Amino acid sequence: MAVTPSSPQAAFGRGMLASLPILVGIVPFGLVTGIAGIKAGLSAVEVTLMSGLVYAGAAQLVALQLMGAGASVFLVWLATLVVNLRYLMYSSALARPLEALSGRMKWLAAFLMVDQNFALALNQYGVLGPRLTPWFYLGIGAVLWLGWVVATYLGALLGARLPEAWALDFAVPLCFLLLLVPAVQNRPSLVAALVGGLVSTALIGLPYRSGLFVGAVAGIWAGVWWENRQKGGGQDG
Amino acid sequence: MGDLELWITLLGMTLIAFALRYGPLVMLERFSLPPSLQQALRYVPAATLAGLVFPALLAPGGQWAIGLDNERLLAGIIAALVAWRFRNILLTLWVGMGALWLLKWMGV
Repeated sequence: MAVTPSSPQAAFGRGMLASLPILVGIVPFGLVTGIAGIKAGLSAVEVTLMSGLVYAGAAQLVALQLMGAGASVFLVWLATLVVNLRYLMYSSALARPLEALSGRMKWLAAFLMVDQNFALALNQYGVLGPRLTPWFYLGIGAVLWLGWVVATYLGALLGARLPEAWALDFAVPLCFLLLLVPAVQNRPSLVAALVGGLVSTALIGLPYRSGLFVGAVAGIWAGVWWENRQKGGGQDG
Repeated sequence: MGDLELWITLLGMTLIAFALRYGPLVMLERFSLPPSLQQALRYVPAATLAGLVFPALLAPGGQWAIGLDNERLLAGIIAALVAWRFRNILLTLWVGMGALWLLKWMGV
């Protein structure tokens, strides 16, 4: 197949290549999610389908913890909403770079949206331009989705055999920690994290981790407040 | 959780996750979010992810446990330093789990 360097096919291929180093990082998350699914009482097929359909690691891990604790359907949905709110931000920022896609391809683009292809596509927008960026983005998304689903299935097969003494449930907060560290970029986001985290911990006694929602709202409010205070006071940070 | 309830849960999660990703992508060609909402959204990742991490480290048994006898807190702090310094997923998972196993074995 003759492909010029600037064709959509070439951009898709470059996206697939760019996804490989990230795939190495996605696989352990997928394994942990598969293991968590088994611990929550799902079958290997069920948790794999969850990964294929929902395709949102942090939300899946929270949902599985809640399902394992016997939370209601409504609470699991609410947690999914709160933990996935960041996609509103990603989707808004990608509206322009992905403009060139047809209506049907936008469904696919939305379905494949994760932290990693969001960040890479936004970086490439200036280099590739509006015609090619969507194909680069979809190339990353296709590989990561497949890797996520396969890793979840392998984790689920593995999870049934791992002894309790290994304390593998600790891998779940470690995965969240790995997402949290790059999210703390400046003083206001550090304040948001500290307030969100401490309020959630203080309210840990509330049923079904509803303290998480209160903590999230408090943390967001604190971050906004700190940013406005910095602007108003003219301090650096 | 029964079979039907599980499928209703998964279907709802799928729709919620998709709607958040799809909505702005198609609607923002015509208008954009108000600046105050954009500002608030910037702090969603830090606030919610910390809300997931902190309780697992500071109160693993359901109550505040700030002290040297809380091996999950110590292992978590070590993992956080590794994550911050090296930005490496596998390394962080191994060091974090290894620190927890070592601390448990030492009976701290």
